[in-house]
Amino acid sequence: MKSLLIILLSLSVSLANAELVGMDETFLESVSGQTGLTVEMHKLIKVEDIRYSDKDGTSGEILDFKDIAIGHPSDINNKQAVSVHTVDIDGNDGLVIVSDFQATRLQIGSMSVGNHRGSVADNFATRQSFGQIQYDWTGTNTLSINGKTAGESGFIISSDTSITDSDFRWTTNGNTLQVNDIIYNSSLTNMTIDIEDNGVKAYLALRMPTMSYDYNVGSVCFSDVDCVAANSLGNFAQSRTYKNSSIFVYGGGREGTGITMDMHFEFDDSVNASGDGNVSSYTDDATVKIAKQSGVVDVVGFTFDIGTAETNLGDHIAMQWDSVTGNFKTDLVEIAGNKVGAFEVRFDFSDGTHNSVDYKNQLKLAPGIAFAGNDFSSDANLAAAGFDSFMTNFYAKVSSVSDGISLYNQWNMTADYFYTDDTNTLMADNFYAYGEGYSTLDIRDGSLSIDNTNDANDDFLAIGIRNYKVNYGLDGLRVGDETSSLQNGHEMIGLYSDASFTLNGAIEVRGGGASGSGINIDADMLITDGNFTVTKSGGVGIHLDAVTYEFHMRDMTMDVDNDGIKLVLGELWSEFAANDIRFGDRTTGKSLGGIAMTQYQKGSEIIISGGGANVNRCMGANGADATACSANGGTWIDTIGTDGEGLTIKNKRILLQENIVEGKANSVTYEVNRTAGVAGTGQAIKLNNMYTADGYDDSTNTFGVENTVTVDVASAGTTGAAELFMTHNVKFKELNIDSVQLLHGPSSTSSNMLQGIKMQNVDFTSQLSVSPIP
Amino acid sequence: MIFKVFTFLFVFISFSAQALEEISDESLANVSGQSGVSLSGELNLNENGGPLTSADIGNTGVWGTCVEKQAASAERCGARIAVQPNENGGWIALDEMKGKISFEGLTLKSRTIDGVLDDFGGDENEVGIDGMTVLEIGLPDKVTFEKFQYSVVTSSQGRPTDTGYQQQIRHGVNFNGSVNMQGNMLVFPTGNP
Repeated sequence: MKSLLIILLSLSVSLANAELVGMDETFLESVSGQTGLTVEMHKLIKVEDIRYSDKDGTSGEILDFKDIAIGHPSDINNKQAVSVHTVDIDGNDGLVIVSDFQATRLQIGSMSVGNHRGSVADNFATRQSFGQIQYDWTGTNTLSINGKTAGESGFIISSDTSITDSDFRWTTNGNTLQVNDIIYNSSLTNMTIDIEDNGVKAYLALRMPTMSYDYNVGSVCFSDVDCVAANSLGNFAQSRTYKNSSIFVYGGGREGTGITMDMHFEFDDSVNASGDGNVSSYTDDATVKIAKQSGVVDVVGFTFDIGTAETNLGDHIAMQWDSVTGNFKTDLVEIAGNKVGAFEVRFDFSDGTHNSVDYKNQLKLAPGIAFAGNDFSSDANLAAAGFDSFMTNFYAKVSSVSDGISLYNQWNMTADYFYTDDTNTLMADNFYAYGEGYSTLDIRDGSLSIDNTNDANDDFLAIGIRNYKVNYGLDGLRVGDETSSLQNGHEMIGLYSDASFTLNGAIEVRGGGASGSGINIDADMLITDGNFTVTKSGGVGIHLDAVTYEFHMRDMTMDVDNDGIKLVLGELWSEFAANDIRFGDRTTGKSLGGIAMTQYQKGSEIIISGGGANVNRCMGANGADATACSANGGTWIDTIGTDGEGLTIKNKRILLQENIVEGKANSVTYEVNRTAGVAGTGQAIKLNNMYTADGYDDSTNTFGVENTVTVDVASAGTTGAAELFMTHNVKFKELNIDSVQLLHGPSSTSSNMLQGIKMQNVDFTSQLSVSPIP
Repeated sequence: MIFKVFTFLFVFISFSAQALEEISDESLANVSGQSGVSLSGELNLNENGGPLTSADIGNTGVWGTCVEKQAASAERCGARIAVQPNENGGWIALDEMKGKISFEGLTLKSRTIDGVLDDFGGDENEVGIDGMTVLEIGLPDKVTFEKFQYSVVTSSQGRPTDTGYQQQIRHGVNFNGSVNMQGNMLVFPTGNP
């Protein structure tokens, strides 16, 4: 899709250039007597305003682009950009235009929609823009335009584009996202363009039997000047080949005038036979690679309109999909050279109804920052959690005329996920997700950070999340194939059986990791109205109901190095409360009482790496191989297979002693016998002030609690049947519970049941085969 | 994730009611083909020692690997859980915990009590029990203990490396062999939440 858009842009730029050229006599003399025509263009172009309108009297609005300029990157206002075009008519290839673009800059000063566009009357002082776009490039393009065979209408177009050096910049309010050193190549062969009629309406039909692209992004950062390693998010690359793809474009949108498209894209998996084939990768100090991609996607009823009067966005660009169906498969996922295995998802994004609410797949984009300057103290959910001040502070740093992007997203989807470890497959069956919510994006000056310890020179991407209502769940797992018995076990790898919650939050993303390039994140997040199914089977389950979870992260870095994907948490503190642990129905089942937990950590880390337990062993007996193991009554487990694939997650948590001044601590509280189920009115037992230490005093705390989890879909027994196999290892030098308290809510008194618990030198390992109940 | 682990542990160990049940054939047939999970495997505690090593500050001669303990160059290699019941008082501890437990067929699932098909001593007929959702922990057929051991000790300090540390071993336990189990443990809420 992305490649196609760029190809179309290349085509349109090439064609536009060919039409606009003016030739003086000296130039004409220089080309006389040659075959074809060579045109050298010197461009210094300024366009004040370009408008797209789908207003038709009952719906629609205007999308406008202001202050458009094309020129040389070194001085777009005064220096011409040069391109050379050779035009030839070839007996086989038709009209052939070979273009050589020297350094060129395209700049769009402002983009806005409908009632955000401001007015001439106030010199556009109230205009809200998506921001400023700037694209510099150097490259070549060969474009062939041919007719079809005699008697057939339409065109056949081929295009080869090579952009050898380009930079992209998105700027809001004077702060810039840089995408540097983009290298891009694409090839489109024998694309046909026709006007067809399906009996209902005529449409433009683009059919692409073969197309491919590859790109490499050198670095991405938030800076006014080019990126350096210390502030880069890393390197991104992708290479894909498609076959038998098509786009049909219809007039008319979701409402009145607009654009409707049906699309079909199909990976050409023949390129996967050698090397990485269709591949996407992210590289920091090491590489995460998603290779040998295949699949197909059908998009039906994609519409593009300019919508009006959305409650929080006002006028906006409206995109909606009737359905997006297909599958995506990657036969090779590697983290830092270690194989994880193969993944596939078969998905269906279509409209659906849940609890009498219709959910569609739609995206609305508006310029500016919705919620800018809002006071969130009137939001009862946020205020009850004491979180309103975080949201108010985040949106106080922008105003009603700030540039940025505001989004509303609604979705409904179902999917089956498949993970194959060597030749053994695990299926997550009947996954569903639906929801809706708002978010905002803008680039901010470093001085506006929510964390005043950050460097004021480090600009960042500010992401606001507002009332994102999320629902998801799955039936369970099937190990082996789609006909295998349904089983649980997903709970042990972090997947809730069902979940629903509302998310609000503020996130800051910076470039630069713990070492060199990488990603740095600060975040304040709040989950309210949460309901999480811990486990379910046979239609009934155990659920955490009325959940509130507030968490804060400071200076979390993400890097990829030879250990894997490494997340290092600077400081983390959180408060989690489930008002009821329910048995039976999610919201009305009988309650076990309430549970609350707080966390306070610094320097904790998570490492995700390829390769699993990497063991072959006899479970439940002794035996050197599957036959001997079986003869002795055991089950042989092989997690190594042919490639040693699998997944390992290492987790190190350094629990700090309580910080009374800041109200941060690690604790667990269980409360029952409440009045009308209200937290704080009953009797509770509390594990108070839990913290780790290195074993010889209370102040040295570097080891923490180490937890290593491996996940494999192993071969089991003499038949080699697939079986989920998980190992856990928990280690800590010392884990302390300062006191075990009994809290008496009605009288607000407490007493210590135990003065302290000290656990030392624990190295606990479990190796579990996880299978259906026979 | 840590919350989920805590919650699992919490639900397992803090239930407000539990009962052991003989499950009937009818009940077994009723649950056949439903989800849930069966676990088989091994639990191993301090097989070779723990993360406190003789190289750590102040640990020399106190903590070490089990090889070092056997060679008498370290006092201990097992895990330890110490509890202080009284303020400024002494500690009671499970000390030198180590060993292996293996089991087959521990099942976990949530299900609904059926007052007709289920039979656990008449309790199924109590008001409110029929139709109640429970967490059913199906006990493993066989549990094997291998060199599973611990000592119960009282000590003057929380840490064996603390100055002036003294301890008295009250008794020691060493399990070896197999235990056969039958039945289920049901966990469900009762009383005022």
